[in-house]
Amino acid sequence: MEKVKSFTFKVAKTADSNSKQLKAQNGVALAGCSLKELFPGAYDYACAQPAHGDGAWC
Amino acid sequence: MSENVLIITNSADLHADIMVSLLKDEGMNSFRIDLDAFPRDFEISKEIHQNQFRASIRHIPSSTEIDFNDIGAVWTRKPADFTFLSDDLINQEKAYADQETDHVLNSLLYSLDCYWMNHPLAVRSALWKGEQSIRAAKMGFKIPMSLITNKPESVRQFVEEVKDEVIFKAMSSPFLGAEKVAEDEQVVTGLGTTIVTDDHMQNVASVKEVPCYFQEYIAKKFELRVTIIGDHVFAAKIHSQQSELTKIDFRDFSAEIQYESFDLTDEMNVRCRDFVHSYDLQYGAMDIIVTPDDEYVFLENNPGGEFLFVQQLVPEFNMMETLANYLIKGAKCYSSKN
Repeated sequence: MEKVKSFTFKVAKTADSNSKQLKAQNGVALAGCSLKELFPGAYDYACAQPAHGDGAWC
Repeated sequence: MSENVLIITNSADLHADIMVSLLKDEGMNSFRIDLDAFPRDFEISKEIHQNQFRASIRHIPSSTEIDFNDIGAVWTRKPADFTFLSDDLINQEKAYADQETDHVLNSLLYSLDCYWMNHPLAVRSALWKGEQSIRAAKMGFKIPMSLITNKPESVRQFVEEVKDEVIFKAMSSPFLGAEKVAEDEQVVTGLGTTIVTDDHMQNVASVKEVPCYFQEYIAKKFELRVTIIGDHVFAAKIHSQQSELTKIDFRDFSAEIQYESFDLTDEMNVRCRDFVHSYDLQYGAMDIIVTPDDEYVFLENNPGGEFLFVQQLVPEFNMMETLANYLIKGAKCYSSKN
């Protein structure tokens, strides 16, 4: 199970935080995302993925 | 006639839905490009003849079209992955399609000489949290002690020096790349701001794998979300200490905590505005801690930060209307020059 190698992932696997806590309540618009890059390319678009459109934050 | 507003976003953007309606009510035309439907649902054309540039874009489903010479303002909102006619492009063809479409789109947009809220280049330059802290300190903000490193020994030293608690957070995205892999491949789904514990420090050698961002934990009386729209400053007081769920990271919306309007000092008001404008941004959403000693500590600025949730929680903030007015004014100003 413990295949992760980075400190970040090791913390994430043990921390209380998870996606349920990170998601906003229905009806409350998304909280303060940082735009990684405005348009697709070699960057990360976490905040805008439709899959997280119900209240993802960053 | 340049009195049109171009909105660049994705189809899930509620902010844009509302803005289109507001602009319409004010008699302002808008054209929306949802990047998650681009280029599939759009016809684009750009011609350069004898040094004259002409470009247009048509939204096929609605049969609406706009000439790029008629765009007076652009509101850049949210990104998305492109969608193509075929959803089964082979990997290399898909990679090329993405990069070529990116190039085409930016060739169109960067050619626009108009009002921007915000220009992509300004957003790009303003993103980096490690740089933001240095700039904020130069501009008079207090900032937390922080460390970005892939050296385990530096982390140990930092934890010793700070004495009080140390927090850890991802600089790029709290989803930790989860959205980039299939659900059954996700080993973690996210990580908010987290207090570093002795248990975590048992794994400190693993910072060698990927650089990490540590900060001294700043005790909070409350937090501020300061949203800058043009020259307008909206400061929301977030009573994050009312719930255990939001004490460390206020962005847990399962907790019902109070938000209210807050009067910044004149000095802080100007400093926040100047900070955002220093990047040539017209919009920014800043996170600031107010300590029990009433000191203001800068955390970060989000050049594409959301604001509708603030307006929903602090109804007297007319942020959407203010932003609409900037777009309208910007478009009309550009129109009068051309």
